[in-house]
Amino acid sequence: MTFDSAFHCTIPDYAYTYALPRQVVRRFGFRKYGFHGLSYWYVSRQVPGVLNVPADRLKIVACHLGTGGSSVAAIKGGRSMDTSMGYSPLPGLIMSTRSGDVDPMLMLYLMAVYGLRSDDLMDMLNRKSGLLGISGFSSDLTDIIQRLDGDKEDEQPQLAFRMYIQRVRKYVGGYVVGLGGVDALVFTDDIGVHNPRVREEVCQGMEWCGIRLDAERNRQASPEATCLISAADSRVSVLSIPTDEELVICLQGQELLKGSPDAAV
Amino acid sequence: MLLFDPEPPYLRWWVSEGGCPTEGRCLSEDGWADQVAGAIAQPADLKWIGYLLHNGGEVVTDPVSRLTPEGLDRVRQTIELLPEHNDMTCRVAQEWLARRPEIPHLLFCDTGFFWRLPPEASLYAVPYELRKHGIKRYGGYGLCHQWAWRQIERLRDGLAARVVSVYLGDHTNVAAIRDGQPLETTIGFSMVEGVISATACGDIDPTVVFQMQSEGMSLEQIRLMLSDKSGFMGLLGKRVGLLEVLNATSDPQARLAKEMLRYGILRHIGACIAVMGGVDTLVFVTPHPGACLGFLAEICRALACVGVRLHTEPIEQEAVCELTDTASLVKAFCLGYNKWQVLAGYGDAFLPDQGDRT
Repeated sequence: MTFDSAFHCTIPDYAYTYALPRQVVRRFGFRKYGFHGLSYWYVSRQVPGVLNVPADRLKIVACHLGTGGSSVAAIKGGRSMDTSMGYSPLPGLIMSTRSGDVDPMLMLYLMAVYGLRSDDLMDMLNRKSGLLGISGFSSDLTDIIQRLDGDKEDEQPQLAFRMYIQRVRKYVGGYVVGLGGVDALVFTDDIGVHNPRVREEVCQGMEWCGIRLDAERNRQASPEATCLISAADSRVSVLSIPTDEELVICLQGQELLKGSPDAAV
Repeated sequence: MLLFDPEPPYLRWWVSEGGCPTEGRCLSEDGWADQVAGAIAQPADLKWIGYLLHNGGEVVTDPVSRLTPEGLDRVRQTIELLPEHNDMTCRVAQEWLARRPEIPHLLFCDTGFFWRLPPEASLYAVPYELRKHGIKRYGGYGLCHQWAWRQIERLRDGLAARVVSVYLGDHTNVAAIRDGQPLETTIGFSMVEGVISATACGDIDPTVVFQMQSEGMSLEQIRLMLSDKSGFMGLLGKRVGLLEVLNATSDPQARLAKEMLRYGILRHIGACIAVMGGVDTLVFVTPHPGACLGFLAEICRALACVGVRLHTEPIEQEAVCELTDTASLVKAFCLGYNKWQVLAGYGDAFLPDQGDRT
């Protein structure tokens, strides 16, 4: 198992299992592994200090929104309970050039009915889909956001942004219910800490689970520091936390040398 | 009326004469029309014939429509989307259109309700060159969800603005309905996507398809595996229905199947609530209301975080059962579902002057 998946080894069987025939699962090792574990490990250890609540009593939904890959994780008592990437980094959120979730049958359909080659299709889903595939002009969310408030005729960037946000919201809602409630919602990595508009749109209409953003705090949050951006009366704390995957590698390396059980996560 | 629902290799049929229903199934072979005809006591009294089309693609977009021999040619364009089911619907329709040209024939399309899904929900984040091949999320069980929404609207007297509708059966699926309009659903391009079912795997990483293909499995083998040999069947190694999984006690694989079902339903309910920005009503629709109540109570208890408060009294097993108590912010109901009766209701409403008044 890679270092980046190790954090997710606590995901319960009902969330990591793919319901395929058992002999196929055994032969190929198909299951959800998940990624961005270093980042989730880091942010899940920042939250207790900021909120002054012991880690074992916290339920966290963390959104790692990067320019390369993006995912969401459900974390309970410091342990990963589910995450949106899977066997590979393809499923889950809409990413810069990756499609995120797609029905596996549509690939069989495209190969059988339209004669597409599997290598080409794999390449399309990983390198030509996502924001690039919908917008048709850019894989960079910043470019797309710049086009949002311009010409009303510009439908593709609008659609790309709405789809991107909707997918994040679906995972946040799904994990909040899966965890049976949430104490903290975290945004991290490039897009997560640099885009107040993304955070605002994800949190809009989330009062049903206790999330209320403070518009001013959100706009002024520094991408360099951990910032609490929820409203004073929000039941859920919303945080923007710059991740530090290099630091985690150092810390875990040190722990490993000291023989700490925590290094085995 | 006479109704047909393809369930390859079987064709299921149902006929109601003078309020007395009969149902059966036959293998898709020569002579199937005679088998069904033989079960009808008074053929002259037949008011209309209906056919269920499981995926109407971009061709059949109304939940209920009149079917003519010319229209049937267009319906055939949907066969490549769902080959076995849609081909069976077309063949049985062709036969009965010829047998009974003098009475109305109706097409019930299970994706029709979801034709109005907004693009955020209906599109996959793939390039236009793939989307142009009809690659989109069509949804399923639309006739059931639309019926459930109408029942709820009446029960709640107009207070059901944001509804999550859950069909609990051998192919469980979840839909978000805001002011009567579908906003999200778990069934996508095919029935494989979404919640784990009796024989389909539900949400999985699409990369596994490429992996299996590169190891020499054929497209047809993979297709059959994902849709007909996975889900509960994949986990348990034998064909089992919903009720066997819900009653699981000792078998660890059956327990896993039940946990996956429970978690999948909860996760998708959460996603649907997020898409609507809240929820006021949950409706569970199932052909087995009595046998599912314990499981539904588990689901409702896990939804305490969104304002669902379970009724403390033992729940009665009725056609309509309220699961939540009066103080619950979000109401939850369980509706008993008889597919045939519901389709018959749709047909009679569509043909108001010709309905079977029983």
